[in-house]
Amino acid sequence: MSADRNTAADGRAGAGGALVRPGETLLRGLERLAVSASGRTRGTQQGKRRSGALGSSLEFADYRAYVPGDDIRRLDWNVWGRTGRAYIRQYWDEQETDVTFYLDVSRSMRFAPGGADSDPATWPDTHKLLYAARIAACAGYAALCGDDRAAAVRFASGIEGRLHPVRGRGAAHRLFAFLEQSLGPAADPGAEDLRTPLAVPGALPAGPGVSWLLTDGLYASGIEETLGAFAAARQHLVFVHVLGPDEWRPALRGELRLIDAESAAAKDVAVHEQALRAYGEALREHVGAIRRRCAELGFVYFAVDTSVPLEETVLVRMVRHGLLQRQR
Amino acid sequence: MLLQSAASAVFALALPAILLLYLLKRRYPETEIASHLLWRRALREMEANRPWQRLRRSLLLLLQLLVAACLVFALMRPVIPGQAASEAPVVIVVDRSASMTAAASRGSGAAGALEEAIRSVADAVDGLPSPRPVSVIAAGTEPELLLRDETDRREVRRALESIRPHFGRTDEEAALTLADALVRDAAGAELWLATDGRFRADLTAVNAAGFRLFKAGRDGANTSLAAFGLQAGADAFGASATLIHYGARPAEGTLALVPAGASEPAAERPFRLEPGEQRVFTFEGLPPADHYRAEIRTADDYDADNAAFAFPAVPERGRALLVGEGSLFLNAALGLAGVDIARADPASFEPDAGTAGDVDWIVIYGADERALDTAAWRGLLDSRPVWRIWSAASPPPGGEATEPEDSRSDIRPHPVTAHVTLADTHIARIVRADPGPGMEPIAIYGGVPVLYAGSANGLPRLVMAFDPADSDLPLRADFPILAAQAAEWLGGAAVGHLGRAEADGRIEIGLRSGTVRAEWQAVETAPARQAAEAVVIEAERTAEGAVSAAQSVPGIPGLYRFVEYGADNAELGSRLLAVHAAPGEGMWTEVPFAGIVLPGGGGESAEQPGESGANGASGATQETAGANNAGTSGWIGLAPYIAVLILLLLAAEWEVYRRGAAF
Repeated sequence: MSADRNTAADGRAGAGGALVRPGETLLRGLERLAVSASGRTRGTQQGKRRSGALGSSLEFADYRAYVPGDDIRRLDWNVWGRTGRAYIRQYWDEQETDVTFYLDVSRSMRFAPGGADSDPATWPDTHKLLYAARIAACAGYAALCGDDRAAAVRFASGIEGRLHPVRGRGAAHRLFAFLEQSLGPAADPGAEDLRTPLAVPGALPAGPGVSWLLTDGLYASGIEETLGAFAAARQHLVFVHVLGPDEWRPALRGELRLIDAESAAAKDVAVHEQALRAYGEALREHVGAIRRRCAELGFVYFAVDTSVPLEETVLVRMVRHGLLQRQR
Repeated sequence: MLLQSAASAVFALALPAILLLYLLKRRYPETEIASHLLWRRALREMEANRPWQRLRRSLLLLLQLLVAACLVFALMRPVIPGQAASEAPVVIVVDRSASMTAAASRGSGAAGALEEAIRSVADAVDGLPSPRPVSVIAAGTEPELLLRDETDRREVRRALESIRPHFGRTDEEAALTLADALVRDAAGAELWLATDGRFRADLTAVNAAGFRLFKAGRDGANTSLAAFGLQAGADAFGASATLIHYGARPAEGTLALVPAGASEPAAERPFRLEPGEQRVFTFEGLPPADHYRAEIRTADDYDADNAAFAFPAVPERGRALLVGEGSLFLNAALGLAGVDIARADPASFEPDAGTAGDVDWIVIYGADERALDTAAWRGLLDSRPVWRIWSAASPPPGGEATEPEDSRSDIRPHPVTAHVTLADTHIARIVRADPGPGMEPIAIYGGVPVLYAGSANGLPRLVMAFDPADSDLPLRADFPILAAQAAEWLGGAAVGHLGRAEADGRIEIGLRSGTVRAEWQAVETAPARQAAEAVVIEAERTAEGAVSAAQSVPGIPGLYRFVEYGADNAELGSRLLAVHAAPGEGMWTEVPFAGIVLPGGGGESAEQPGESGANGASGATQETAGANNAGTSGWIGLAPYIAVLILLLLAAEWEVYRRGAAF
């Protein structure tokens, strides 16, 4: 079933995915990793709210003080015998996690200087969409290696394409193919409001899981509401904020006419120290708003600079940040 | 409609400049970026953080208001007091009449009044702010415009220093009229007059904004040799000289008469004259000479009239050969014309080789033509001018006697028929015949030519086609005139000296026939402070190239010889002319500057020459009568600066507009 749907979804099954496919080193590294289910590292269980993540697997996670109302079957009698205090045993949840990768393929992501948006082969490694797709490929592979299910959605001003959940390492090529296809040219420039593609019924997964939103976040509005929508859909969201080095630290100088890649509007800007400082302020504010929202909802915010080599981002930073974890 | 400041058209350069700005409007290099989102927010940040940026929209408004205000201000023509370099031209009239050769004012150090005047004017010109154009007029018989609107100070000085005194009559009014014409062209022009005060000028006639008077010379004394004449006696000459003294104190000196070529005077007379006294001195028993120079040796301030020349009016008499019977009337008429007549009867007289040298011209009247047919006669007649008088009683071969139809006369212009009308004359019989080749009728009476004139072999020929006895012409006044003019034209008349003439005037000279070239040679020049070069002046020619009968008198007073040369450069003769300066220049009856009327009343409110140097250098304007020169040179107009400011504001406006939201 899913195979049929996937064939329809990715069209050229087995088309390759050469661009997004991680290299050998990455693959080796990723095989030992898995996507964090809830984004918390071990040993930092925080309060009752998280208990949903604990399941009835056999893996012992932690002790918790007994509170009237808890399931007595989980009481650790040995500890009670020795200390006289009641503690509940908690186990990691070994339920299969659905990891869905939401890839923003709007024109601002596709933007390549020199107007080479249409040919992915010419994109440099710092290209946002390419980088994001590669991150999705890596994380997706890690998820599949960690016995999770991986799905993918690409969106611009609406859902452009969907890969239904696949399981198992052998399905990685399908993920890669889907992601590769996402690089292809699209006519849709994108929307100003993030709700436009994602707040429609059916955009978000039906069941709880982990969603990774890979976008440059350059939406004038709707980000906070969309995050709320993800929370309502019982998703644990990882907001991967993909921006190029030129966007983190613009290298522009002088009096320029800036053309927006999405709207093709022109704006005359005299870029000087003050303008750059103001840009930095605006960026910090924008990022700060997203971070705050993520913190409110318990989501993870992860900033990506595409000038950082992919290996470092995936194997070092993501791990350190808790997005990926070692398999047990 | 007039454009008062056409020079401001230079601001029109702003139009192509604006055009250029539009054409070259700097297009910001286009840079494509992923999204404007953050930049928009950044700009909003910037705006929010800079309160005065809110005024950006009203900045344009502010600039517009400023431009309008500047325009209004400029239209109000603001001026600030200052030593503006005004453009008002200066017209300088320099009096170079003969009186300017008099002594300069005491202590000026200049050689003469003219030099003093030129020095002070040149110094004042140097002190002018440089853009003021200067025009220089030298007064003379006709005013001469030496420079027009010249700003190069060196040129002005050069032109001023090239002014030489003019000894002829000076037309002061014409000079002022010319100055007025120049002054009218420009607003605020100034008139400068450099003179010694003996210049009759009404400066109120000149519409200048300011006047400046440069005084030269001094109110001195002049003893003038007003008249000097020689009388040729039998073996000695007599002379009379008239002296007039102008001055405040009596004059003492000697009057000396120096014959031609001598260094010592033939006679001397000391004198003492009271102020305003006129006295005649007579001399007798002077040794004969070609000419005499009379000179006053005294200490006076003007010496152009301290010498005079005179020569005895002894005319050189012409010699004519009368062939035939002649008549009493003709003899008398020719005698009046100063012609010595020798009579020859062709029947009994045969000319020989020496005859041609003894006579100047020949008149044939009442002779038998056949007797003149010999080789000797033909040779003589071919070598001298001939005047034939035909008679109806015995007409020449091929001729016949006719009667005139009426008494109307038609006179053609000719030296012989000048002043002759034949109006009241009655001529009974006229001979109609062929006068010969090259003869043209110059007088026609009753339809029949009565006078023919022409030339043969280069010699003048005259034919009278009627016998004066057949008419009442000898009884008319026309007859001696006709005879004298014929005699003169044929070259044998009294060729006396040319007499006296005023320097730079015009004189009519009866040229000898056959004159191809003539020139003035200076025999002596009157002692003057100007250096007298040995001068030879070529005579003027007519349009056809012949020597003109009307000549200009040489410009420097003295004694000149007019020498005429024939075709083979043989000297045909010379005549003397005594040239004197205009007499009025020496008649110092008035106080200097009394004749000069400045506008606004007051004769003398200008600086003295001695001070003019210092004052000119400091550039302070000397106020002479009532001029409204404050209207131009005392103020600096601000309008051009305001116009520049407006253009700058427009440029700023353009920049603000261009940056727009990038501000």
